[in-house]
Amino acid sequence: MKLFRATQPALIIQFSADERRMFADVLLEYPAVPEAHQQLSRSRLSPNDDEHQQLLDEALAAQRAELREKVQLWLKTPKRFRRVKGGFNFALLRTDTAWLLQVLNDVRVGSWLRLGAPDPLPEIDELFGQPRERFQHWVLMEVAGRFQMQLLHILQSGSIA
Amino acid sequence: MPDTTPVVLPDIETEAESRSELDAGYLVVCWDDPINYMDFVTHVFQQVFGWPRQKAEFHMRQVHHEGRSILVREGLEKAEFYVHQLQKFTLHATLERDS
Repeated sequence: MKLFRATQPALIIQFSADERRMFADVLLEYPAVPEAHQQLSRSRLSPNDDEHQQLLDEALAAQRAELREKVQLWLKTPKRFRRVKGGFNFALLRTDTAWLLQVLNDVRVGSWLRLGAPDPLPEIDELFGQPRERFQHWVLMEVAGRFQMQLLHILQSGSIA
Repeated sequence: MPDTTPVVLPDIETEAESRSELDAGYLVVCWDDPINYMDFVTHVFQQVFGWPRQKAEFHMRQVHHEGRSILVREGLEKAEFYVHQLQKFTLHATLERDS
């Protein structure tokens, strides 16, 4: 995954065929963080805490529903990925980068939570001999993180003064 | 928090930080975790608060080294808004009362 060309409205990003498949696979895992995972506060704020927490839960749930639909539509858009020599190009509108980063990080954090939220993060050899499912969570966490960092790098290198 | 960024000089808060901001009763706090990349946290702070990179990196490093950073002091409504924005990016952010 690398920047091919930067224009004002869009970043033209180049994928290998494997990267394109993995990118779509990662996006389709959204949402991975369980509902009601986020807490508004660690302490008691006011007698209305439950109401405020409920409002936050509702706002995050609405966002999840909206993003889930957006991901599906985005991936289904015809010619989203254009075949070129050596792989695929796709045009990422700069206005789409924020939600895409949200989706990638949700999948990364959600996979980490499924691993039991280990701290520090486990190395791959620590998962040898463990259930296959845990290995899959680890791979998804790492791949989502890799795409996330590559996208951030592309955003930084593709800035137009 | 995985380390991916170079060391930067700390940001110096200016006295221009408004009194109303300091008087506001709620703190938006970001907590350390091992999963969010440092570069990503910096990027989110820039996006949500409109901060320059140096200020965003200062707070990111405070999260990393001290376990948490108070990002802003605000009234309840605005503080809730910021917490929601940070949580949309799956950062570990909460709202705390300014004691």
